Amino acid sequence: MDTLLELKGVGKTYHLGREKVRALRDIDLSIGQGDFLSIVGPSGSGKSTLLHLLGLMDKPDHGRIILEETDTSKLSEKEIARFRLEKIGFVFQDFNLLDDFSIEDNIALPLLIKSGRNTLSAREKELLETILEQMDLTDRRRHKPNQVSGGQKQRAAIGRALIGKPSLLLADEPTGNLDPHTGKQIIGLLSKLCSDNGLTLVIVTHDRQVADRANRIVQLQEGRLATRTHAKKYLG
Amino acid sequence: MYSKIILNNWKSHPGKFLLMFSALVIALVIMTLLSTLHYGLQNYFLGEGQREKILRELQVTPRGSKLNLSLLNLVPQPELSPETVEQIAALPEVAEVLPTNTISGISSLQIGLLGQIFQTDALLFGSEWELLDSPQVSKTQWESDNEPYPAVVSTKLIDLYNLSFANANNLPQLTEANFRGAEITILLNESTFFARNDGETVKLKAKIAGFSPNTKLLGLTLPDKIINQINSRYLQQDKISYLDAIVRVHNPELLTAARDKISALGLDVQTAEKSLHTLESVFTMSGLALNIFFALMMALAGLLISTTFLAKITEKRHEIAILKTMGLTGTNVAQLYLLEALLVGAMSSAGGLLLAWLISLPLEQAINSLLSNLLTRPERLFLFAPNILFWLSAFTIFISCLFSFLPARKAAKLDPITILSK
Repeated sequence: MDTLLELKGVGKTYHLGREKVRALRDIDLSIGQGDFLSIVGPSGSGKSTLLHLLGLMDKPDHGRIILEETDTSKLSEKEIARFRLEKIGFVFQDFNLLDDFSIEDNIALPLLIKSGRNTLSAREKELLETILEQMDLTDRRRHKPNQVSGGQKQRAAIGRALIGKPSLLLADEPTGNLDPHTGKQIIGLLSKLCSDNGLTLVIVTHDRQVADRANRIVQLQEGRLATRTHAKKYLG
Repeated sequence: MYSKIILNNWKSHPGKFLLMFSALVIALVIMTLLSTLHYGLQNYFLGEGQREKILRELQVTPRGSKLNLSLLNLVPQPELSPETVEQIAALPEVAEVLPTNTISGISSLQIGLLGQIFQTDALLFGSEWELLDSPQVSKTQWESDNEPYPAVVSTKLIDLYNLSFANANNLPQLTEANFRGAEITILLNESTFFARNDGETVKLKAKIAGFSPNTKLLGLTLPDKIINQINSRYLQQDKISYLDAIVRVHNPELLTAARDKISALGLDVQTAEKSLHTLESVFTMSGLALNIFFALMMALAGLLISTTFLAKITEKRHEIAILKTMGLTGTNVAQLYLLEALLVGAMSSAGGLLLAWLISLPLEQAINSLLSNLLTRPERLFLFAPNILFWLSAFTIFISCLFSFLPARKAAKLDPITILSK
């Protein structure tokens, strides 16, 4: 499996007044293409920080993050934003859809940002239709986020994350605000998309069952990688 | 893509957009009405044609003449002779000389107005047709030798009567219609004021043909040729002489030279240059005062825009964070809000200008009907000149963008991690 993303000696420290909080310490991590990775750990272990760094939403204080053989520490803000737009998709616990946009507009947003236009091209419309079908949201396309269920919102968020055909999909507690049944459906969907499209999926989760769905589990403890395992069982 | 985000926001939450839009529209309507009124008045008093006319004219009088007393024959009157008039006309700077003559001695007029016959002492002047600037009176009419002689009244006289005399004494307002065509009997050698006759009363007929802004205020103006004839035929005054003259130079640059040369001929020369400069100063100062007022008003509108944008960005910080995670940079976010400000400014300026124009129509009608009896008033009060409209629009858009700059910067600096973690 080719390496998609590599972290070398990555560390991140937050300054809260005079206090220094070392969220991550010397992380070395390699994520291959098509990998399904779960990041687990207790609260405050640095999971979200690691996810933010993987998603290039934040910069490490030391170390390097190499995505598709590009050292991201050398990129400008504009280039990083472009990378995020083209190569990375995000799914959040709170769905984070835009309330003023319909479901289909929410999903199509990355395409509009990429093209800079107000309307989709014919090819982009086809792609949107495909995603709406895959996410089973065709009937809800013109609804606003406050008019659909939690599961539908999360599927819309996943659709939005996928429409730009990213190489990497990052999900931060994607089932955190869903009931167990819906949560299972969502993880199943993510897993299927990962295997069908060769998509690399990284999930941050507290949920044992979600973690076990991954083919790799990474455990964080006090900002360090406690264990790396290929085992499917969550070491809680 | 930005406009889609902006329009979606406006559709879902029109309140903030309407607040900013209304503030700018109200400010712009007030600014437009005041600017166009100021410009309309300035154009009327100091318009290119008017200005040029003032800067090309000199009033020439014999040195030491006292108009009112000499006309009542209480003191001997210095005169402007035809030879002097020719000397002035011969100057290279001079384009034309328009002298005014007058009846020798006392006369009174009888006129029928508002169903009554009035008789009053009056001054009679004679002018060339070129001085009149009266569209109602043709040159042919003015050159007629026959009675009733054509006569012209000063437009300022009627306005003066209406504004200061009629209103104060509850007398009826007079209009052009009351005077035009009115027949006048000129009674030479008869005075109602002094209750005396200076000889046999001669009755002559005249008829009011029109109105002029250039003729003498107090009195009636007839053709200069007629005045000379009257002086010669009835008042034993064969010698032609003039009270004063309007001298026009070829262009304003020659005014000073002409003034100096005419003054050297032993004549008093007056120009309206000083009055013009005073009037210009008045308009400059009023323009400055208006601009200060506009700046304050726009600053208030701008503060409202700034506050509204800040509130909006606080409300939308979650949305901004999401957009940043999807690939928008801080610069893109700032551009988004600046574009929104630009759109608000553009729409407000279009709406404001249109509304101002719509308001100006009935407002102008109302003002005109109040001033309907004034003969001297501008044709258009509110002058919507393209350059004024352009600058008002540009200023509105500029204010909208300027006062949204800091909020846009704030939006650009929002940290998506901090916001989405909450």
